[in-house]
Amino acid sequence: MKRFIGKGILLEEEKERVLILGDMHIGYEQGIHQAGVATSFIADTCRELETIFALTGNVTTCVLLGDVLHRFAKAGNDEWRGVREIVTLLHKWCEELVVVRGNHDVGVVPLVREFNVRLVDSWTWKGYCCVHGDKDLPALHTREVHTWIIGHGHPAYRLREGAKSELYKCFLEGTYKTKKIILVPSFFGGVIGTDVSTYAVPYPWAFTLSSFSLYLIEGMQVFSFGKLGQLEKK
Amino acid sequence: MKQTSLHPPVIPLESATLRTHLHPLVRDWFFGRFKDFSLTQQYSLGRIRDRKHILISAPTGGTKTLSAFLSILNYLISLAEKQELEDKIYAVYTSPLKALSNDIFVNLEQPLEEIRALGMARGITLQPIRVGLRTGDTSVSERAKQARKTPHIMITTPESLAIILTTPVFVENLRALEFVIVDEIHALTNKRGVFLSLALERLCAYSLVDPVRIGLSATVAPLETIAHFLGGEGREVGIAAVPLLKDIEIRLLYPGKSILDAEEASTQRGVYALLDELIGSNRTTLIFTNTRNATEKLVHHLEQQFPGKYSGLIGAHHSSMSKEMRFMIEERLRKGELKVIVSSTSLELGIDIGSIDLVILLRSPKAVSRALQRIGRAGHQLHAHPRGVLVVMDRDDLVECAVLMKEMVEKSIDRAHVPENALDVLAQHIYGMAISKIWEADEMLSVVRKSYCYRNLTKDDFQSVISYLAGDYALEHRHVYAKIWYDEKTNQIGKKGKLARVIYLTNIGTIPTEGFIEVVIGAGEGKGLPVGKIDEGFLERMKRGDIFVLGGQKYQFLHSKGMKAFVRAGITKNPTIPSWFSEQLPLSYDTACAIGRFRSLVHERIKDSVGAIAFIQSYCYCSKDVASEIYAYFLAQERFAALPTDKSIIVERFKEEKEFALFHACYGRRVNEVLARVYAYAAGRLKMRDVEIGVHDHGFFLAGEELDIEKVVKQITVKNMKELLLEALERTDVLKRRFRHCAARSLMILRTYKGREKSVGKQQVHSEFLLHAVRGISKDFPILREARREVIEDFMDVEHALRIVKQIEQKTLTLRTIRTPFVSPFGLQLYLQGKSDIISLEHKLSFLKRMHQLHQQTIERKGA
Repeated sequence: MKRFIGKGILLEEEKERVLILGDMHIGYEQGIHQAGVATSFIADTCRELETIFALTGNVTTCVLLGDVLHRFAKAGNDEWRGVREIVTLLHKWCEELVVVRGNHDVGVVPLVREFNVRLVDSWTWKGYCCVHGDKDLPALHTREVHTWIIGHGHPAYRLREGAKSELYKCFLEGTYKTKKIILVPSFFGGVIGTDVSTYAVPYPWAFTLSSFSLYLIEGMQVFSFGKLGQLEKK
Repeated sequence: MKQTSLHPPVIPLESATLRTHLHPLVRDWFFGRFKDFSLTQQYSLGRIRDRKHILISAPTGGTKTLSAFLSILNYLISLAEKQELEDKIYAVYTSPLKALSNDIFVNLEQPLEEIRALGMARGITLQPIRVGLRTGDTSVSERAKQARKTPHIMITTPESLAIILTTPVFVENLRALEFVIVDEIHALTNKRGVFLSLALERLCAYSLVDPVRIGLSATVAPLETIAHFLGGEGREVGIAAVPLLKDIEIRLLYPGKSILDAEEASTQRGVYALLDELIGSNRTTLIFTNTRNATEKLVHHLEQQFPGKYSGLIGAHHSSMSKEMRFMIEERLRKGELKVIVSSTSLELGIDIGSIDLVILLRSPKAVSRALQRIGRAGHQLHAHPRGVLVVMDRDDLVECAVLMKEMVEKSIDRAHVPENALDVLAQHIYGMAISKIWEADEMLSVVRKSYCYRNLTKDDFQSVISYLAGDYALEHRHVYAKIWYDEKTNQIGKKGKLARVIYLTNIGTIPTEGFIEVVIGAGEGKGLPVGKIDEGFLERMKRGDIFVLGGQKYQFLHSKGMKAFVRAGITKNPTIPSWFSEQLPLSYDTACAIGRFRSLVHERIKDSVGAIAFIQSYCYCSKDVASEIYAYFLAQERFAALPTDKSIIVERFKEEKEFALFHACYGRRVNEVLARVYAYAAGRLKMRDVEIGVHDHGFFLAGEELDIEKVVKQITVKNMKELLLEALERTDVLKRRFRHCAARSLMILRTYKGREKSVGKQQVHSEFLLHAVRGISKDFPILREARREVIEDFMDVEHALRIVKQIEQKTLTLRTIRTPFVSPFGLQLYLQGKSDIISLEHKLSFLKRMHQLHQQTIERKGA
């Protein structure tokens, strides 16, 4: 069974529970620290994770869909401190923590060594295959995989009524060839994402997004808006 | 408020008296080149010689620069003859224009060279007088040379002056500075001027003598304020208001037989024929448009409509063009190679452009001072009559220009607004000051308060900026990257970090960097033609098929690629998204009020057509045709609804997809931005729904569901207006955008860091974070407060809006609601221009829930 809980996806089967979360981009805000005003999204991220776990309870596995740190190669103490806080929190609620390697995740060895994290290129569980989404991988095309769960693209949708418009993070669910596809929004709170109706989202596959179902997210609530293409026509 | 210092008028001296003041060499050189002193020189030479501060306000072409320098040159020559010139900077000249080198040569190098030669011929050896030019373009080697051999006169820009002030070797040479010239001061009634005013106070704080301040200005008002701005606190600045000797010849024209012809899109081509005719009957014509985009378009159309006729003889000049291109155009203009030049604002300032026979202003210049400045570019030689033509394109334009003509002829100049207590500029200077030395906080505050712009700065505001720079606002102290340190015990301030000077030098200035997307026609007629520029943030909100307004025209967004947005032109449908980004100049409040008074006077005579037309003709100094057109326009409005005046705002109500309330309030866009927002906010609060607004110089509209205007108007009082305005602004793009500018000025966002320039896109992302962060820290974070202040005081005009609300409260201004079947003649332009913003009251989640409900209902309906 699959459920959207805020920006996370909960998969449940035979007493196993898997929580999947999109790109975190910890340390994205570093640049502004240089400006003399310290701000941190870590506290916001932790608060949001606590709210999700309050709804899901303990899970067997938590999968992070890559781009955990915004700039691994240059990550400083503050970023690592952020990682430590988040990983500690995640470990409190899950038995196993898996990170799918993303394009920002260069030099991530400390993550594995220090934080007891399993680092993989793809992670498959009961036909669900989680990848970051910046490149195609053979694991996605194996017979046992029926659903791809993908991060990377930061999908969002701008809802309009007359002159009013608001941008929301969104899930998109559809099919590609024989596989079911779920595009996951970024978990990072600082930026909402890219409006999928106007801008091309950078995936290496030619998804026909207009046939995908759209789910808009605000806080912990998720609302279904039907097929993207039909909504656009309206 | 503190008492303003007195600024006495300066009395001109007799030519014969002035003659005796000059050193023989200078005198002989001067009279070898000129017949006599100009009136400007008669006003200024004596006072500068007596070492008294002076503001010289004279029309363009009034020999201002030489007037400012002549007494200084005279003094330096007498020192040079006695071999008493020291290695120090005697005079600093600053101008907002970077393109100074040529003018400096004409105004300084050439006279110095000629005087030196004259001395040589007479066996007098003068010590060389060195002139140094320091702008952002000055090379490293040139700067090093200046450090080795101190120039006696330093020519610079406000930004470069601030850099000089953090360079120890130059500061030493400035310790006995004797003169400061501020040129084009009328163009500095903005944050750049605020920046300069603080730089001047810093300069004076270092100097052991208080240098004589000389301000040079074109037509500007009120002169007392500008004099105070120049002199700062406690300095008596004499005002030399050199009378406008020049008589201006102005005409008002429109293409076609009647103004209604001009409004028709199909006959708008007539404007090119009219321009061609005017250009043809003059040697050199300068055309001013109000936007850069219109400049490009006009050049393009003239070349297209008259193939071959203008090739090589027409040029465009605007601030988006490269420096080299502009220089080339100026040079060709000076040589008389161009027959016509089209410009937006860039040629308003005093670059020497040779002689121009006619200036054409295409559409209303929106302010008397601007109109005079532009027309003054014609006959740019002393005593030549400037000739100008106002070409109007619609009826609002016609009325505006007719009133402007009256104000120009009667020399009734609109008043400039100088920003006060700008905390972002203050932050930048405090950082610069801390880099130079360790300061006592009180001493620093007293230097800052000497600037006119900060004379009323509270200690709390000052302290809040210190706290920001010292990193006190940090959420967690270990994250802090403070720029200065502040020791509460000793009350001292100093710089922090090894990179402080580099960060300061590479991020100095007040002009925001903008991320512009070029808008290009991507399909249909005019494919490939650039039509203007929009802000990056604006593009982000657009969807395929959206219709938006740019430069008064409607376009449909097709797609974007890189830094270009492709659109379709010739759209008739209503805009779908609010165009909060506008390049258009706002009508000045004073001119708008003059239009209101004019309407009242015509209204009194509206029943007597002959009398009314004769009155308009004599009142506006216009032709009978123009007067008849204006009368017909006013009469049509009176018959359809009612004529709004300075005593009565007409609120026109009609219904389309939404309920419209169109306020005919002629106060200029800066005031109407305020009124529209507070009324929309009040209307929105009643129903907790969003209200859309459209803002124009002559009025504004609200569009929403069920607008109870009477109730709304009663809710706004002098007491609560500012508070409601600030609440209404909190979620707007205008505030976000201004916050980004303020954050860059206060060095929260660094444009350049560790040698790398940050893209505007990155700056935008950072500013979004920052806004989120500072709101979390404190609603009163100084730079956020500054962004709000900038929006309501500089971009908008809260002061005059309050005056209007007060008049409504006191019932000296009435509001009359009239229901109309559709939009009235006066409302047409405003209505067509579309929505400019939305006052958002509905929460993001409520909106999502409501839209989801609507979606579900649609599905259910379809299912049924």
